[in-house]
Amino acid sequence: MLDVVGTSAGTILVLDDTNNNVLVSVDGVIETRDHDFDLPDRVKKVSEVIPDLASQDLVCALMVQVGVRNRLSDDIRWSEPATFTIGVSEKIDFDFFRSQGKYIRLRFFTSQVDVAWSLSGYTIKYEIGGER
Amino acid sequence: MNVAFTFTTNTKDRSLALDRIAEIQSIYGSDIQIFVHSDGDIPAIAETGGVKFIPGRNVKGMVHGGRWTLRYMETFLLNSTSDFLVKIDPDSKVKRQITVFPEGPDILGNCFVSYPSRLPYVQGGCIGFPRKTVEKIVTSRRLLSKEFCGPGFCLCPGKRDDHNRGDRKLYAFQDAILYSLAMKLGLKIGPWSEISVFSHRLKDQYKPGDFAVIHPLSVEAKNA
Repeated sequence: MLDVVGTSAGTILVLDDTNNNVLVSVDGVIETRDHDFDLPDRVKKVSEVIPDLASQDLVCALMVQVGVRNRLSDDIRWSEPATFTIGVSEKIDFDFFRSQGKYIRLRFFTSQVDVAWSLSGYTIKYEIGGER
Repeated sequence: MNVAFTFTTNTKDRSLALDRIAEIQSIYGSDIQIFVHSDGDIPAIAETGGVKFIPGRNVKGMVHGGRWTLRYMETFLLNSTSDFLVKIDPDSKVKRQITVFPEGPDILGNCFVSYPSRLPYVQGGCIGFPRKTVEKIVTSRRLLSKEFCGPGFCLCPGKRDDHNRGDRKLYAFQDAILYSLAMKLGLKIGPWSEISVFSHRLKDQYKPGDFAVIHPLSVEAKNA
């Protein structure tokens, strides 16, 4: 039995084990909530992010960004995306991103054809700054 | 800086403990104070030079809260006049003498938080404490507080690569208890350039001599 779906363009697609949509990537994004690390009054600086990913054979790039802000009503200041190569990388250094914030969030994403990944958790290494 | 070392060992770690003692003494000299606690029955460790072996029962269980941490801190205060306590694990590698002791922070170490467990912690592979910090923590008596004795500060066996938690009990997560108590006491935790924990993630960057203490040991072999 085959699972099929249709598109608004009249195309009938067969669901298979690839991760594309007729040669177009299926974008994958996971964005966390704001974390305060139990220190809502102190700014934090993220130095490393270590994604926990399910084991897979495919070596591919997962992009990660750190976002910071000092008030939940503020806009989020995002780092440039950093690359974590699944199956190769062990962590991502964010020393290049100098911004600090009382609230920290992460965004994991891919936008390439036939990229698969499964995130089960993540570890953040951080430094605690002062109150602002 | 006049430092003392401490670590806690159990039956499975005992050979590592002997390695650490030899290593620290070779770097600092045989008179360096090293307080070795046993967490459960293990054959006594010879008290050569500045080594003091303190037998003790297993207090890693959830019901004990921060007793495991309190034990080594009390031992330090009672038996040493050193200005600074370096807490390591049996699988931490001491590479050279520690020369940098930043003055601002009350606790020197690396902070992490993992999700989904979401417990912030100061990684226990190497933590530095000025004496006054140890005094403040011990005299607060809060390591024995019930707030740290429940499932909120537990490690679940099987969730981590554990070598000493085979009995499937729930264990009080000492690194998280220390972090939480530090926050409650207004103690500042600052980074320490002399140490590298989770160093297996440094294989592209690590150069011999960069760090005085590395954790875990497995990195040393990888980067030798």
